Amino acid sequence: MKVSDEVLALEIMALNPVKFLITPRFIALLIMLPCLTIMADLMGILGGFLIGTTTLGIDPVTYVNNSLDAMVMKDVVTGLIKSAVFAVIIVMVGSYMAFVIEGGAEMVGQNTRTAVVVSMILVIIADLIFTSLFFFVL
Amino acid sequence: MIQIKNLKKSFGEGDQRITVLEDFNAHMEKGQITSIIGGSGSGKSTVLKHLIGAYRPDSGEIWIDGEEVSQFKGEEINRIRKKFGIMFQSGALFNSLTVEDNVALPMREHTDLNEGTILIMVKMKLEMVGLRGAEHLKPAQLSGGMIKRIALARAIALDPKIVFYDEPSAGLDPISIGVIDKLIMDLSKKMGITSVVVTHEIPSAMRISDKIIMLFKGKIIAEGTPEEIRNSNDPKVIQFIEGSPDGPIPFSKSQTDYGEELKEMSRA
Amino acid sequence: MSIDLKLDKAGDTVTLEVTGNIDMSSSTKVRDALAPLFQNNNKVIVVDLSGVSYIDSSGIATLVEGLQWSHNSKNKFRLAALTPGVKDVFEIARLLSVFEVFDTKEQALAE
Repeated sequence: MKVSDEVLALEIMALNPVKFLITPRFIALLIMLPCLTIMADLMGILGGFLIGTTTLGIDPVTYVNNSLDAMVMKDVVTGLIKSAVFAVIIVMVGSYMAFVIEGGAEMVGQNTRTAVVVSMILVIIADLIFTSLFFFVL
Repeated sequence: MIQIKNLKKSFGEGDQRITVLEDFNAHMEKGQITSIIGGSGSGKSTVLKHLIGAYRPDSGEIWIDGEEVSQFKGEEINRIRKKFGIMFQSGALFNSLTVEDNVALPMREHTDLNEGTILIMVKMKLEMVGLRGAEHLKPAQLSGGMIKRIALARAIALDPKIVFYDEPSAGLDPISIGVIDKLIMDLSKKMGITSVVVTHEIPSAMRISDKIIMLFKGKIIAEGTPEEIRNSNDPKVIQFIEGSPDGPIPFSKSQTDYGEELKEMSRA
Repeated sequence: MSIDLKLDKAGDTVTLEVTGNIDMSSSTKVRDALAPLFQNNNKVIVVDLSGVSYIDSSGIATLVEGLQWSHNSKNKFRLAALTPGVKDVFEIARLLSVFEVFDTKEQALAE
């Protein structure tokens, strides 16, 4: 963003770069990350179903029934809340790194790496905090 | 229209402090094209960054349209920024938007005009830069010369009184340079736009300028009409115009003696 | 800068007299005044620009919109009494020949 003068161009046009560059990404990830989480959840259950029924000899009906019994609404909801929190973290870190960048193409690579590493660590920490919060408090 | 008085700017801290601009004075008149030329590191881009409010001077004044703007911030600076347009070296178009949306962006954000009116205006601006019909292309589908022309169309979207050009001809082929030069001249003459061009393309600057300011190491070494610059006796000016590798502006940028440095190497 | 709009209806012709500058902030007012004229049964719509000394591209675009409307509704859309400054802007935009332009309001109404 900054390397290609887009941030400066917006500022010079008296437009707020945060509104133009970060808000759409923020909204997009806030919607899409929970969607992705639901999809990943479904895929996980499906994968378990396939392995369980084909190689472990579990009865398909039993698998489905037991899975539905074991799953409570709280699991789904907390998962979705966490994914929204992760979305905020990822956008914040990514956008911050995009705004503070100085220099050319080389720095784009470096800052991208930093953004990935930092957001991964923060996501793990946030996961820890929220999981214990949900486990002990709720 | 634009007046710069005793502008000073340095970067860095303590011993590392480098003065980029020293006592820069300039006057850009209404409806005229003023070019600021100089080699890389001469401070010409720094002047431009001050004019658009991206840098704040260490000391000195910048007057635009009768207002001292160098200390402006927030809303005040945005009010001044609506008076001018800028064409960036890279074009700085938004890659996710079509040409039409790029040019329409300032109009949509800063005016209450209807969408129908805006689309007509976009067409008018594109006609001015000779690219009517490119509305629905994305920047990635355009050539370098076309990107700059679209950037120019966006710069004049709100009918500014002043347009700044940052290296308008850098990286273009001779014909595209000719096209951009003609556009700059047409806009300033016909529409009375005050133009400030920062460039290192001497032939292009000679063709379009009413006034040329030549910078070297943060100081003005020559100022005048293209004719006066061409007839200058200053060896530095002559070297720059002729593009000779050596002269008063040295070829080698190194500060230390070559032989000494080689000898030093063995000791380390 | 404020803008003054005056409508003058005579039979099936109507004149919009504009006084002031037509720029980014006032173009919408001109547009709002112009738009309804095309819905009524006005045969000839004349915009009298004698009181306009400055027009910018948004003003020109607004008049082009009027031209589009007249094209759709089949009534005549004419401009009258352009001041030199306004005429220049039309010429730079290469749109002078696109419009029916008359020297005076009377001429525009007569034909």
